[in-house]
Amino acid sequence: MKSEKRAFVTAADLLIIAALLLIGFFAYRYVYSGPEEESFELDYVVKVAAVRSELSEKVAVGDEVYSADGAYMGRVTAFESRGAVLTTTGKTVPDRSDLYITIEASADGDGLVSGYEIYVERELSLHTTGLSFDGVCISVR
Amino acid sequence: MKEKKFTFGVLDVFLILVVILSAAGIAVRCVLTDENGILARTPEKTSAAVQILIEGIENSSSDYFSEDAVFTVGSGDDEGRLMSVTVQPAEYYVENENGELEIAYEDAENGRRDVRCTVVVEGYYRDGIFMLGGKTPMLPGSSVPVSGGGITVTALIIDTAPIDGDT
Repeated sequence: MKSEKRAFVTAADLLIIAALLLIGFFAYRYVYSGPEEESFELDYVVKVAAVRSELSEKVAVGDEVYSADGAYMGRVTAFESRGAVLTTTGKTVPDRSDLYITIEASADGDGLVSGYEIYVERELSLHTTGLSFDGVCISVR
Repeated sequence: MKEKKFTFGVLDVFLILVVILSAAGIAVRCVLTDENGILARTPEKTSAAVQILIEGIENSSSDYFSEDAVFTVGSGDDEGRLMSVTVQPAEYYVENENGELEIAYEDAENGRRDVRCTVVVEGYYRDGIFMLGGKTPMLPGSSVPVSGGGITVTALIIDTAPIDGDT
């Protein structure tokens, strides 16, 4: 008499099923993820207040800018150094400069630059290879 | 009795692949990557001369800073040797008779001091930035703790330059 073959599920079968499910999941995500939102160029200006004048020459057009956690935040396209002015009194501070650094960056479809939302009055801690600075965004276009 | 014959099937290959890939993944994660999970490179260790400014410390505290003194720089245990120490009366601002701000200096005998010096430290250059001990970026404009001999101050980094000539 022919012995009856019993169906049973082994660990290997479960592994294969899990692998197939994962493949299916990623295939679904790939196919139905919808059209990618287009990135766009963003220019923003960061004002760095009252920097010692000897540090104000450490930034140059073309420098790449990174956040404190190392995210790429764009490239310096314009740079201006003006005598620092106290906002409360309007008096000029000797040997201190206000830096205006224009940065061009690529924003994703949600308007984020490397995950950072850029908006006016946003405080940013950034650095190039020549200078670390804390500033506030004063313009976005 | 019928002997069970071992056959090497697709499943076995699949399982072996899974085991090999898992081992490779663990090796890459634990052995070949740095603390940020990035494939580690082994750059050449080098020395850098870091110019620092310590502002407005007590007159007597400036005595701690002299050439060849060794201080701990940064929050770790990296040490640096001081070079070219300059101690000056601390700067501050006053209004002149026209209401404009001017730089003034503390009393030369008893007033506060600004200490400007160069500290030689070891580390690595990564993407053009000197990393103290391979971890702490020494960027002009940033601040770093400096301590030793019973004193701890915060120093502003003014400049960083390689000593060995390579970056």
